[in-house]
Amino acid sequence: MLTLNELDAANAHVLAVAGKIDARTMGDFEGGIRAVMDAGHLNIVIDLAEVPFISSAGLGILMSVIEEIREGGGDLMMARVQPEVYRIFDMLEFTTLFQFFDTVDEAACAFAATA
Amino acid sequence: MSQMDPKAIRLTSSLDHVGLARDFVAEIAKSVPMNDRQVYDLELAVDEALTNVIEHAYEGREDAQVELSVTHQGDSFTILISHDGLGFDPASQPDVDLKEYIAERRVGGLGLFLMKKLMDEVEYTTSSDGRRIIRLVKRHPGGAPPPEPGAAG
Repeated sequence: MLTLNELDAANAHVLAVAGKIDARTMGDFEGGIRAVMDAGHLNIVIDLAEVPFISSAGLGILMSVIEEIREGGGDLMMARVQPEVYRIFDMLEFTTLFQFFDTVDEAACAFAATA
Repeated sequence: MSQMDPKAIRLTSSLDHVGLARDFVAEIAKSVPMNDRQVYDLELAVDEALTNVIEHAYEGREDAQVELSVTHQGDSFTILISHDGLGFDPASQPDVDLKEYIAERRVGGLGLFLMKKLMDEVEYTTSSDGRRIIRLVKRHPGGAPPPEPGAAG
């Protein structure tokens, strides 16, 4: 079971995710990101504070949307990623693909810096 | 005690049950005790292996059986996943070049790579009765040592 909450921040739209992201919940994860994109928000912060587990299926969702978001002039920033989850991002070198921030505010502010 | 009897669980081949398998392995690993990182590694390796079995070996069939057993002996934590689906030869899958993978924005195909990163041994075999077996071994030399014979307490 995955819970997704959307919030507006100053320079970005925040998608707060809670639950384990695996092959069973990856569809919900993708649906949440695509709903934000479809609403016209391409500066997106993914808040992973409440995600204790992610498998390669979950990382595949991020890979599948990133190009579309960047081609549209936006980006995906990762906020509050738990250490063990970050370790998997790092193990698969997804840390070269995304920027990571300790707080949602810092991630949102990163959009202002690049605007 | 450095050896435990194998503990086993049988699941139907649904992605809904992968979480049960992760929890089953995690609970045993915590009792060893293994640390949080080692437990996470085991959960993720089992998730990737089982997801591949369901999606590829059973081609998405949700009515087949998968058995999972766990043994802890010495510093080795061994997980056996057995099923009757299609076999898989890991040698047939080329090594993943992560820089290329990321640059080309590829999706999928990282399960085996992750399992090898997380585990000390990953082996795919077929038993004499034709069952496919995936063997995952994680060593934990940093774990709590077994009590010395005759030690007080």
